Amino acid sequence: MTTFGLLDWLITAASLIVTLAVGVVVKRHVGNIEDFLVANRGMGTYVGTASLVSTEIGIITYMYQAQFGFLAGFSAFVVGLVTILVCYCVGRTGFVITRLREMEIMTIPEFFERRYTRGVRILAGILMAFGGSLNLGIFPIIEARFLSITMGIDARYVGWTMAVLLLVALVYTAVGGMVSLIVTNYVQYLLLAAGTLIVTVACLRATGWTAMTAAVTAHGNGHGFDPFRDPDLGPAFVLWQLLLWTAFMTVWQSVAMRTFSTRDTRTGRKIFTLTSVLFLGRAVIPMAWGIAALAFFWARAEPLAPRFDADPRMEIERLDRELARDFETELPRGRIEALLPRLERLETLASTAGAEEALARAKGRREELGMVAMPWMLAAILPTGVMGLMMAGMLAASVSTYAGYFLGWSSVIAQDIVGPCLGRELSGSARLQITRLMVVALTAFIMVWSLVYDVPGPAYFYLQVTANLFMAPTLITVVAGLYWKRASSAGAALAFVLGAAASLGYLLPDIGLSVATAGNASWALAALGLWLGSLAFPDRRAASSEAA
Amino acid sequence: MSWQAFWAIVFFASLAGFVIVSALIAVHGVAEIRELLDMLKPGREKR
Repeated sequence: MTTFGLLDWLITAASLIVTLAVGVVVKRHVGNIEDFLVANRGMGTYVGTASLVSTEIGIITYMYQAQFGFLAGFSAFVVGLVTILVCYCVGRTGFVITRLREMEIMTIPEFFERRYTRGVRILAGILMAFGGSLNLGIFPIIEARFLSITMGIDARYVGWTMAVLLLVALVYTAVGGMVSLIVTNYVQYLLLAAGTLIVTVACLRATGWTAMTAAVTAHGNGHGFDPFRDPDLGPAFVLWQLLLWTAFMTVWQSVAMRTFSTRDTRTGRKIFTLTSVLFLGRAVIPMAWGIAALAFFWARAEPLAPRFDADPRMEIERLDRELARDFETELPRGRIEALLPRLERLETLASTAGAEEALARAKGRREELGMVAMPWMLAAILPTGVMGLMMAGMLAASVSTYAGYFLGWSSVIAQDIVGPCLGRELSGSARLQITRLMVVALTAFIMVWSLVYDVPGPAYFYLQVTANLFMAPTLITVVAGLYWKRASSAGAALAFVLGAAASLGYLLPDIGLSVATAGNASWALAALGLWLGSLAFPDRRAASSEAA
Repeated sequence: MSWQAFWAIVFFASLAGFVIVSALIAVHGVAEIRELLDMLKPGREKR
């Protein structure tokens, strides 16, 4: 049962109203498309860092990272180490970001038209819009669960609550663009940082580091500490994460827009150096909340009585049946402690007896528990008043993410698909209007998508694969375009088609590739496509200059 | 060093880093926003 009361509602509502007011007031500083998309390239180091980080942290981030920590234990922290390493290296070296900033572009696909052809720009834009929308489309599904649990909102009204949040983000993004984003992101960052610290202190007080370590040791099935030995992670996963995060830091549209909005390349690099520290926390801190939730509910669980005389197969069937029934009744009440012991025994028995179907169902149920354990723990441990402060931080994080992604993906749709397909040069005000229209269309899409789509597997994997769908080919074609003279348009197009196809291997259930296989295959095929396509079909321009 | 000790160091270092950088943002952010809006003002007036 949540303690979310009137005081908490007032704090939450006040934070949203202030954000909306700030976002709308600065609208008068926006005059043209360059102000709207890249704030006339005037962003400084600290607000740039706040803007980048608050865009990339939402309730969705806290939810999937906590789920990952709940499922993989401390092994999940390896992702945090990958992010700080990659972000710091990009900041120090200026890899890709310096060259793109110097070109004064506004979207990543714009680079493809300058370096390759308009066709490559449109193809890249379509894949980015497709993957980005799929990625964004599950945010409301998962965030609604957080709000429903922690605020105690009836399921009938969760959709409306999400609609209000999206509307707040939509209004100030559509009217003020990047200028509104930068200013509101600063306020939102302060709120989300305070919320993050409140939750972390509450988690540590409720459980303690020793209990967290003990829970992973006792219930991690021999895993949870060494990421290279974890069956769901391993060296292939770490390699894929290194590649994906390099792409994320350099060519992910919402991150790249911050790079394009900086005053100069030096400021851009400084932002990445500071962000690297925050990105370590972005991963590790909520993962620790997930581990704390594991420790919290195991500490409340009652041990199961031993059943020495039971036939393992009969016990598997009984536990499977009981869990199917009790998930319906216990989970909506947050009684995770009533489910964990039986789930663990089912997993152990099914694994020993080779009962694959029961094991798969148990795995799905554990993922389900991992998704809601952290919010249920917060609902149980945070007192009234503190709940409101936490929620103000969470909603600030969420609204800033929606706003940043709305602007990022709508700018790609407007600038790189609609604009080029019309076949004529549009005026600045026409492009501004189209971008605003796309923000509205995107909002409508994700509201519908979130109602009809069922996420396969852990949310972390889904989000990473939908991003990988276009990020692998994007980074490869950008790097080749910058540093390899022979890279051709045909090679770039082939890289996009093959790279996207490999990622779909995870999303389409009939193919069923593992997440690391699909991720790494996407990179390998995109690189192969670029190389073969460029050698087999060189651009006329490059061929003629070589002949000369 | 054991994995347990290593992850404890990573967690508490990340928490400390998060607090320090957030404090820097809080302190320096307002002046940067003012500069940004001032920079946009002349362009707006011209338009």
